[in-house]
Amino acid sequence: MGRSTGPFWLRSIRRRPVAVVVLAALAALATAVSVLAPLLLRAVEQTALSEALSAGGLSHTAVTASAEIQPSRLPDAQDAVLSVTNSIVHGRLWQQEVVVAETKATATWTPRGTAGTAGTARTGGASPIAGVGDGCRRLTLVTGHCPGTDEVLLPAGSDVRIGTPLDLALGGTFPVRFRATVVGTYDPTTTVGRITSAPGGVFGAGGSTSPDVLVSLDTFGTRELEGSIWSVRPLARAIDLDDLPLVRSDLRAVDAAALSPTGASEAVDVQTGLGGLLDDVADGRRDATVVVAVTALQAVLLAWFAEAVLVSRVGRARAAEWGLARLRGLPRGRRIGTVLIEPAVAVLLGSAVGIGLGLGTAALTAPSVLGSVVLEPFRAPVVLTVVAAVVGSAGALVVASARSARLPLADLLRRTTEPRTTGRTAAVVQASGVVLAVTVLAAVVTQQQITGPGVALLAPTLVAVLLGLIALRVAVWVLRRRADRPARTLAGVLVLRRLARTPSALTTAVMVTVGVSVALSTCQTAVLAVRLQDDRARATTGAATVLKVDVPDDVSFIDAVHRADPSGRQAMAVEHLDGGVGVGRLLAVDTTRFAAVSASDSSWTGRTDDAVRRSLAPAHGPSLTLHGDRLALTLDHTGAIGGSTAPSFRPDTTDVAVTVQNASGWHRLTLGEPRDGILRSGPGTLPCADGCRLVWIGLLSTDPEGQAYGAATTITRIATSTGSGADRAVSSDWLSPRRWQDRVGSAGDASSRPTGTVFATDDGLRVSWADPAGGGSPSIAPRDAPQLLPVLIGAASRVLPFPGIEHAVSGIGLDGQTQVLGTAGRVPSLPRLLDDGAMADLGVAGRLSDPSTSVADHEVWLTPGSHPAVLAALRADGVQVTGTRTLAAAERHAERHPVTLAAVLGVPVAAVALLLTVLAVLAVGLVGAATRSTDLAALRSAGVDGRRTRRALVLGAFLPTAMGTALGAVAGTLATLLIADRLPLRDGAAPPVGLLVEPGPVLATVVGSALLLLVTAVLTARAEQRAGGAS
Amino acid sequence: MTTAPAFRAAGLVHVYREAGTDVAALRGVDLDVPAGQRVALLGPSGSGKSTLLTVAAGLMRPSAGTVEVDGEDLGTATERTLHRLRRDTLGLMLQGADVNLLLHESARANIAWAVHGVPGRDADVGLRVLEAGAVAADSGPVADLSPAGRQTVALAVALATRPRLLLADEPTSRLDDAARDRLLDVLVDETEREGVAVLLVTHDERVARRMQRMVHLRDGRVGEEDSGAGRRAVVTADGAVPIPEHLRGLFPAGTLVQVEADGTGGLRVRPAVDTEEVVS
Repeated sequence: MGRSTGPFWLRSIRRRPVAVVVLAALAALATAVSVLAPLLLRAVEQTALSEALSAGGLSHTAVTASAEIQPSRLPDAQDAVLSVTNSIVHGRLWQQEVVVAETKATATWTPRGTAGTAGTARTGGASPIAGVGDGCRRLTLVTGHCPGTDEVLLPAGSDVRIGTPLDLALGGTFPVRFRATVVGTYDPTTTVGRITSAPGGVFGAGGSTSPDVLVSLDTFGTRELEGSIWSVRPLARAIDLDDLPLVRSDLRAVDAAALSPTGASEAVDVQTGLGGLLDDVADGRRDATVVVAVTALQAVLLAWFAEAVLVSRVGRARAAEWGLARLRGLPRGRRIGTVLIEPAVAVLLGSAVGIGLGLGTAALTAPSVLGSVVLEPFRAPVVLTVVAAVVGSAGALVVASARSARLPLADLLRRTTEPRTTGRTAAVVQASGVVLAVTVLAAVVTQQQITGPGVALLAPTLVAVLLGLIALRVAVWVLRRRADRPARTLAGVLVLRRLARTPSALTTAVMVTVGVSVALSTCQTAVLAVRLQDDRARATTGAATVLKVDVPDDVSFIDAVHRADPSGRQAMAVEHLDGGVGVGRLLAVDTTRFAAVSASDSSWTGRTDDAVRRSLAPAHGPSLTLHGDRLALTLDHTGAIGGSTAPSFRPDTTDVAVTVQNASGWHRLTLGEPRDGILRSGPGTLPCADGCRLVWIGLLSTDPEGQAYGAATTITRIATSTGSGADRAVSSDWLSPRRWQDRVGSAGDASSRPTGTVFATDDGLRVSWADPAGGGSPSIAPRDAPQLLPVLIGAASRVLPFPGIEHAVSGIGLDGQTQVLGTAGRVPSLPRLLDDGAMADLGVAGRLSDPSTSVADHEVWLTPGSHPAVLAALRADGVQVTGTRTLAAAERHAERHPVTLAAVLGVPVAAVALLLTVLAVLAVGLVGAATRSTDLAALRSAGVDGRRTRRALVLGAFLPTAMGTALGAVAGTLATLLIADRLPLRDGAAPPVGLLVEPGPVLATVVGSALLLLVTAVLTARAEQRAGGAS
Repeated sequence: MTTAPAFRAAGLVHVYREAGTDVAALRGVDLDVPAGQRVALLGPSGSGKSTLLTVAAGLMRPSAGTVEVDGEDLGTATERTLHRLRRDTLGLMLQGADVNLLLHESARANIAWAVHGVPGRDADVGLRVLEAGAVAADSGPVADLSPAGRQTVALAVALATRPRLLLADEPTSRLDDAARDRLLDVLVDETEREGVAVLLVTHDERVARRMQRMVHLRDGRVGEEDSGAGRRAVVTADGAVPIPEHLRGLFPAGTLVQVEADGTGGLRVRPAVDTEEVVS
């Protein structure tokens, strides 16, 4: 019949490619998103799992069964632990077990040999002994061979030669001495080496973490050494997500085996951190899924909406053509084909391209964010989401085509304006959209936190739809009112009247609103997620660089740091005591340098740095500085405290004591029983040659029965001397009560704590010391330090009030002893401690407890940079660095949190959503260009300047989308404010969120969108003018 | 056995709603178009010509009265029947090329598309019409043809299915005289050849004269007819006689007249002279 080339739909595509190309592009983008999201999510989850496992260490990546070795029953214990670790079913996931017995006590070993003989080493050592079984074959031997009977392996680096006989001595219930010969050395740094050489220490069961001396298991049993036996099975490799159910099944099997008769008979203890690690990873996975899935869902929904808008525009442009098939009475198949074949071909082709696009985008973005990662495209979630995207696209085009394809034939012959009232279907859809949006948003507002895949995370779309629909109704109403008046300008004719006549043109504005809202909210979420993790890293690290240091006993830590950094702008001394929870976690910082050195933000404490310093280091009086090597106190009117309820005066079992502080800490001097006269310390007992500070003056009891006691006296003179020199009295100001206070110190019981009370008398300082419970040390102290250690307490800290003193709580000091703390306030977050713990001033803490007895970790916090001079000065003072942490590394690690990665990877997904919005706007404009041809031809005939016309056309195309962009920015910002603080962007405690909305993403999204949409408006205007000129 | 007329309307009324108002476009049209006859519908704008054509095409249902195409009552026909009628019995040449044609396709493709699936039909008639109208079948998209070329293709498509009745709405609008005449030549020749009845709407008397009958519509009714022997008023089914347009000035609306037989088989109409009956 014909010479037409190809079927009619192919010819139509060739001759009218715009609609099909753009529809294919939209379908491609929708499919790309549906491929991208599950691929990236899985990559994030796998990365999180792999990194958690590699950071977890042996204790979190191995299953361990251990049991005490009863005398002569090593084989029974061995069988019991092996039965537990062998209960693992999926052996391919685990390494073969390593069985090792380890003594609890430390053995000393010395080489036997001629002393002083050249070439003979005389080094020895002390460490537990470990008995290794078949696992010796898997040890990395540096020299020699596995030990047999009465043979030993030493850790590599030992100076003892092979063949050297050793004397080994082991304490315990049954002390053991035996001899063994060194047959080699082993590498204790490999996995098997670490397990073998120190199982107790590695798996947190106590014991040394230093490498053990290894004997054979037989030797261990033969010598009947006491200790524990371990069977350890580490994971064979980095496991895949698919292996997780199998691993969990094996963990359950191990737990069950420990309770079996065999395991229970030897009281086998199972230890593994793997379950907890997997639970943490699972939480992160769930939260990451929430973030990625909902972003992708919004992008795909937007794609379908855009496809529907485009197809409905095409339908409007081709309604007459689609009606022609009905007019001609053509068969149903031809009629349906006329409408649906082209868009169906576009969707299928586009989807195929989209799969490739999604894979390619994932291949590009995943490595740049996650590092080396394997993408798995042929998995059920990917396939299912692709199918869903294709089906959704197909559904969208069918629904959107239906109206135009079923337009009453008579209407095709009439050119009518759109009805002034909304059709029933449209009204129902719009009303449903509003009700859904309001309902879900109301639920979100009343929820404190969103957990799980919540529909509430569709807030950006819902808010945008809500705003868009409302704005649409308002705009149509305004435009129609405006259009009733005669137009005075070309823009009025071309733009406003046109929009009034065909308000469906504003649908693109709603689409832009949703697209911009989703893009903006996603970007804000990503920025916020990264910032929260960085903030948490800053809070938990404390400063740009944190050095863990060892300080010599005779060096004042805080003074050493001051000498190393006189400027006070580079280094800060910090002591950190992690005593569990609440105020047992104490951080003492040098508040004079906190502002300059710390990486903290003042918003975390809710106070300025000056306010923090004033709170923790309040102004104080002068110190009583003593010089000399002997102290003399002159007392008068010494005796019992007056009053019937006062504790008794027991001079026989009471000593007057004085504590002073120099660079090497506190030193106590005992001056003898309280009596009138001069009480002197022994010659040379006062360590104040270079000056020292008097900490307190009080009483000590030597009563073995710890009875209540007290005394009252008048101190008339405090003096020091050097050598045989004369006494030098301190200023008489120090005999005034205003210079002294009751020392609370480490009082534990508020109801009966020791107290010291001062009065003024003409003779001197009247002091009354009382210990109503006995066993304590009543004292008075100069007012050069607060009575209580001022602390700022984290918001979530639980405290125990100390009765009798305002704002006092029971706590611990840096020496690990009880200390009464004075609360200076609760703050949202503290450095290192977050919301649980107490922060104090290091200098003040050093005045209230002996700094030389501090059990806290000593750290030097440094500002960014290398600080070689500071480090050299610290080394010169004997301060040794034993560990280093950096904020940069902490931030890098924190940003690898799965939810953060998911939020960041949501940005390309949102960018795709915005791109398809712009593409759809352009396509709608190009497809509908021909509908303006009659109007524009008439204007041209009337002599209207082409340039003016184009400007008006650009304005007409840009105005709705500009409105949509502005509304989208508002909607996206509102949605972010609504949900950001409720998103699962971080787990555990963290600093306050602070600013929820960053201006950067708002500016970038709005400006970028506006520019792109302006370009589409120009292109649309050109197409319209060309169509108008052609007719 | 008498063949059913290609088109019959009896007391045809059509009312539609526009801008909140009911508009009676047709107010009782009686019209018979026998098989093979060519009829032109004339009348001023708003007289109901296009509405009559739309109803005849089955695109709108009559509000009252009956309308039949080839014996099929369009008022009670199902959608399926209407669909079959449009496929097998009617040829449509509606106003505007974009409604009649696939503008992006060639003329040959348009014809092939129109006969697709119609039993016993091929492209011969359509191609013959193209040849008669000097339009190349494969010269590219129809949108690139001249207005005359597009109308020729529209005619070819309308006649390709060998309909019994061709409905044409202003087929020669936007054509110059030569093109108009050429198109009409082709239309007359082919419809005669195929025995297709024609109902053609036009404003142009010159176009109407090419048809066998000219029916003038006025205010939704048939006013006059001209079959070549001059214009004649048509008595309606209810006995009304429309006064010819050129005589309406003698009898304005509301005038009381006396109607009498004149004894020669005709009627005499004169205004009533009784002063009491004169309406000023």
